[in-house]
Amino acid sequence: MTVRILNIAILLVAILLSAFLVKKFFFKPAQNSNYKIAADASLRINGINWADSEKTVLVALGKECKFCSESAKFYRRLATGIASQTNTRLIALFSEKESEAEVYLKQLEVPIRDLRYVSLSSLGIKSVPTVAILDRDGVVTDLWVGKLSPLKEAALMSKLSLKDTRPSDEWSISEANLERKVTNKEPLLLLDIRDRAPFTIKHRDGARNIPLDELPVRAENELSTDQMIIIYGDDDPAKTDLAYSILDTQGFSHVFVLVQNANPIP
Amino acid sequence: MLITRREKFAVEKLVFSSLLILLFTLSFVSAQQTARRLGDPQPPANLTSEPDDRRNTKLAVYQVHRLAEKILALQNVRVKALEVGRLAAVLWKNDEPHAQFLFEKALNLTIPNGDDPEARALSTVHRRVIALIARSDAEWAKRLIDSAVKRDGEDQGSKTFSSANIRTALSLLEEDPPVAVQFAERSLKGGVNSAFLDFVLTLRKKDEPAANRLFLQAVNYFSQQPAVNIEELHSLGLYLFTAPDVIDPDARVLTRVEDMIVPNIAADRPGVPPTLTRAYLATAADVLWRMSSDAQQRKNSYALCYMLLPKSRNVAPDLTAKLNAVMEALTPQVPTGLTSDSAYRYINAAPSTAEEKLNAAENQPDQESRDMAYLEIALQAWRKGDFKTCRTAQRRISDLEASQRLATIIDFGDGAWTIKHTAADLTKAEAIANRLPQGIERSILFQAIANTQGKRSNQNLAEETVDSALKAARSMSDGRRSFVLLTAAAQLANLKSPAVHTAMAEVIRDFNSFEESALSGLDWAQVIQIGPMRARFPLDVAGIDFSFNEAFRAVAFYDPEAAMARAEELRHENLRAQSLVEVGRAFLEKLPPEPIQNEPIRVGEDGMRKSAAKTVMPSYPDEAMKKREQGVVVVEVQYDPKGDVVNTSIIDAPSKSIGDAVVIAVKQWKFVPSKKQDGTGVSIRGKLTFYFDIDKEGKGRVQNPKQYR
Repeated sequence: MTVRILNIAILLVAILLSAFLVKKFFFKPAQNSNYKIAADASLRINGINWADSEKTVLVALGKECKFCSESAKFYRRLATGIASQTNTRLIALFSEKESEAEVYLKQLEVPIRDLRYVSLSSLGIKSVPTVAILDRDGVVTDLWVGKLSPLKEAALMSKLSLKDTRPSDEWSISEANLERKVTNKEPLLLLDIRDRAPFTIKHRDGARNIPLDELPVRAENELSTDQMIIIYGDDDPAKTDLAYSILDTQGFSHVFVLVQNANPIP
Repeated sequence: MLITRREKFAVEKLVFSSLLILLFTLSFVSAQQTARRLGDPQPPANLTSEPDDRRNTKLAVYQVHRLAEKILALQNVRVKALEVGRLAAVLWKNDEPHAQFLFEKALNLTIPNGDDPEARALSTVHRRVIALIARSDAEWAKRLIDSAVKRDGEDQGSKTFSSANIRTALSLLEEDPPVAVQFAERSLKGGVNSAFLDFVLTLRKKDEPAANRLFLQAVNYFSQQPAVNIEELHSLGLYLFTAPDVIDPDARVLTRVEDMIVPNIAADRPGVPPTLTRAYLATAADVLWRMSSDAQQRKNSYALCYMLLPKSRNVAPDLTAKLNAVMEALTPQVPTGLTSDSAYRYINAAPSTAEEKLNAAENQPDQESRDMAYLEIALQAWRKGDFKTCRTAQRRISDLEASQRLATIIDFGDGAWTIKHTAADLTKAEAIANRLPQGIERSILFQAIANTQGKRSNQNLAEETVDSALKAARSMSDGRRSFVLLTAAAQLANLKSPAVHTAMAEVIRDFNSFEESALSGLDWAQVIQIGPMRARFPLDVAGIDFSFNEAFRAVAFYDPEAAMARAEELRHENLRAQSLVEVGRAFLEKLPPEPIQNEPIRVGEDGMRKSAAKTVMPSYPDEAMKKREQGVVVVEVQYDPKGDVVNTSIIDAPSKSIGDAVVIAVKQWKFVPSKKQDGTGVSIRGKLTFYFDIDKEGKGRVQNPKQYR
């Protein structure tokens, strides 16, 4: 009797072990293939019929999200702009309860009426804020993740045929203004984000060089957050815009992009 | 449920068979894992499914594992330890775990035990293995040296420490100067070893500022020692000074002062910064001022002081008084002969013209003295390339045999000189080679000519010349013959000539025909002796290296498989082992370069930091701290598909020494290997940032950026 029980026990262990080994060596973990948010992918959310309007703008937000609150001004402009159009609608997605989300939007004074409570992670949204534009078939045509730089905000608006009404002096500075600040000896830091080689050849008086690819790491270690920082680079506005965005998201509060004259570096 | 006897038997059968299968599976899996860990020489499985280049790599690595087995099966412990260590160094890049395993084997084989000559020889090999390890893993080598010192105990320990470190430094100097300097600096903690001078002098040719810094550290070491060995201090002076009238800047000339032989430091080396000389003089003055109680040391002190005084007058007049005082104090304590200027008559021997020298020789009283003087003149002229004077002196030597041999050597020297200095025109060298009698000089000269011809892709001509070289070598009778034949075969291999196969068969037969003792300790120079005087004429010629390894490497590169077969035929274990190592090197280095054909992928610092598996913080160089050099360092690092750092370059650093410190540290980083989606490895490159700060108390601190602390 005991021998038989022992045998069966051994058999069980053997089966379990071999099952484990077989699973380990022959089966690869199955890939879950849900609808995920990504450019050119189509998305399905219960209760939303994409065909209801020409374009749908989804704004995924979170109550605790710092960059969402910091972007409130932009969402305000976005919501007001879309409200003036008939063929576009704006929907905010939250992981929190709709009532809480409603209070949150009110606090931010963002006039979005259409709120949905969904699991953001199941849609493949890894971080908030995320903004997506979808067409009538639910295909994502444009996607933006994170707090947006001034140029990206303008790009998003123009995709919806809206004009960005943000005053440009909030984030940029003209040569003339810079010159005035320099003559008045206002404390400011001129930040050259080009590579070392062009910087060494020629740069603006008193400028400090941190190449763009090193800025994400070095800014926090070498620059002070409350100082006025004026960024300039070569004539590619995307680069200075990216630098602005890096500093902006790292909590630098007085950052401006220099709008250079035709001949960038004197 | 009722189970009958027969059913019960069936159940048991099932149970045991499944158990058997399970055990079999488990043992197979664990055997595979052990094999992978120890690198059992087992042909890699399912090669056919791999892409070509990776299959070749695996096969080559497997071949090297087999070579290691062969070497480990040899009888001679020293040979197998050293050669398996060298093979491990070759293998490291392609199979680090197995290379480590082989290094450990080599170390374990040579743990010294006792104090007999055999144990001392073993510990020499042990140190050489550590030096080999240092090339692949400097930190491991440092730990090994430290533990060897502990084993040897205190007083013996510091000597071991110093010599192990400096030997390691010397062996690293070619490949990795910054790390070599690290080891040299460590060696100073145990004293200034005689090899230290070799190191700084060689380093100066590569990186003068680093060599100067190291020299100053050595000077500093002396100034802090309570009892200084004056001879060591004197030798260190050779970094700054040299003998007058030397041709070879590397030569270290000794001179006679009464009954002592001391380095001749009468002349200044050109281009040495005066600050170095000043520092050396100041320390020497301090050290000499202390006065040794040992009679021999006092004599050495006096001689050193005598030679330094004129330098002090030039560079540091303020020290002259002190040195004068030392000399006065020493005068009554040393033999009177040493205090007279005539004791130093050899140090400033005024260079005279060839004419004067020849006349002086003519005036020697007897035949033998005249011959000796002529031989001396010939040797000096030979070294300078003045073959006219050389021949005049040679013709005047009355000893016919010596004169004839000298004539051959002069012709050889003349030919070698033309090849080196006017390589464009080989006609003169060829004429000389053809006129030389059969023998080593003729063979070597022909090989050098073939080498130059081969470089001009004059294939057929070069092969014919090598043939003449082989013929000339056959008439030799000593053990050097085998090596000369081998270098000739190596020439053929370099020319990719199939004739190398027959040549190698002859080479192997020739090596096997000698006893091992006839093949070791060979002198690659011709010596002519007249009376007590031995004149040594090195058989150096451009492009020809007589080391067994170098020559066999060329042969192995031409055809590794054939070279392996030949290696196995060698009768002498040490040669067989050396050639197997070269075969292994050929297997691995003939591989197409690692799949770095796809450009490295650039990632941000975040990505670099997150995939770092082993990090080492740079240390703040003392010198930088003293100079208060601080700021940000940005270094670009590239790692290979295995996660090993293969490339570093400093993008930004406050000073060179800080940059060097960062390079040394990041070279030791390891990264998690990265793969593309199809499973092929990729190289990654990206930047890393470090901050070097000095606080108010002057203490230096190296930090990661805040994000990564």
